[in-house]
Amino acid sequence: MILQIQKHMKKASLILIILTIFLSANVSSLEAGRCEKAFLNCFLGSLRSLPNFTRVYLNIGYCLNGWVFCGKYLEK
Amino acid sequence: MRKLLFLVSLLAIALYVHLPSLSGKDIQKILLEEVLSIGSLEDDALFQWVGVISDSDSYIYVTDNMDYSLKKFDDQGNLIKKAGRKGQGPGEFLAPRYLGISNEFLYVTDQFKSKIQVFDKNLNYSRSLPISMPVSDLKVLSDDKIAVTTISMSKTGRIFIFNSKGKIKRELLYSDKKSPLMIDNVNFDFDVQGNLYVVYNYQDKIEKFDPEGRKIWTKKLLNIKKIKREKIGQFTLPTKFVYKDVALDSSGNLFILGGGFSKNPSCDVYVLTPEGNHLTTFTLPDSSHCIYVDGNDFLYSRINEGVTLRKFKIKYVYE
Repeated sequence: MILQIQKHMKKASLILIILTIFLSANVSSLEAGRCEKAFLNCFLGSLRSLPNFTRVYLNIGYCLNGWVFCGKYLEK
Repeated sequence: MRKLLFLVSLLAIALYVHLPSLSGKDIQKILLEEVLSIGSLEDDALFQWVGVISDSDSYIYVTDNMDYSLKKFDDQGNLIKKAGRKGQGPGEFLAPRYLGISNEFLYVTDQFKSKIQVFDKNLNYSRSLPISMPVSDLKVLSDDKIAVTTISMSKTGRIFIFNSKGKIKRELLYSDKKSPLMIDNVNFDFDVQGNLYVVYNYQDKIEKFDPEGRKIWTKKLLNIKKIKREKIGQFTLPTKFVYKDVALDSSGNLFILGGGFSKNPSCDVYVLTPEGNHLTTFTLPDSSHCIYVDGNDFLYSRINEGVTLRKFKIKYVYE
């Protein structure tokens, strides 16, 4: 049982590392506006909740909410 | 005889005031007369206000994103009280957003909190309603009927009605299509009969539903067919707003704030009758993220990128 959990944790950590590298590369290459940057930072932050996928899912919802608010507030 | 004369005079005044609406004349244009301005670049009354609402005593309540607060102003614009600070605790905020009001309480959403915080009108924290999804718009119909839209990747296209305990009483489905991410995001309002008006943020679509949830009409104002979307990281997200907000005046006319597709982006306000007919369009003096119309037909909007809140009397000019 413990071995199985450890296996899952390893998998999740690997996914997290790959995603972080991929997204970090994406952030630096993107000529992002303020809202884009904020959204990507929020998304990366939400991945810290891994392997709690329910939490990550909810956090991404908050990031999307921020995306809407940011655009609404800053768009002219 | 005197009494009769007095009554006749009263009737004449009432008729004069209400003549345009009684005779069925349409609104030809709308003028805004500034009556109050709160906050400026020279003071620290407001830093970056987000939500605004007023009560029947003309007090104005505002959330401020920059100093994590909820503020109460009197009808002259004097700061009466300020509540809140940055934090996770009761009465504290991480990103205070939208406001709702009942006879007794104020409801405040927070972008990063899965709850709506409830304050009394003296800004004392009262309780919290657990809402397990991020809230993107809020209308308080009563303390036991709190309507919210949420942002979720699975449950889209619906408005949830919560009771005073934070339990879902009803779900109003306004879109049953499986749309791309965020495309069904809306702002909404209810009229006194309980009809629901929905304006889509990223589509050229305005809809009215009856209290049973049946669609009455759908309108397009700008004839926009293509939604502007961009790939942001792993997500393809809409980027340009068609409509930013909706508010109703005391006659049930809709005031819809246009977004980036409007001739004057984030400034043009489209006025529609309850039947969905376009009456007129007017322009705010500065771009705004929201509009709010109170029960006495005063309109509130943003100036100076959120440092200033302006209150205008809506002046209706009839044909």
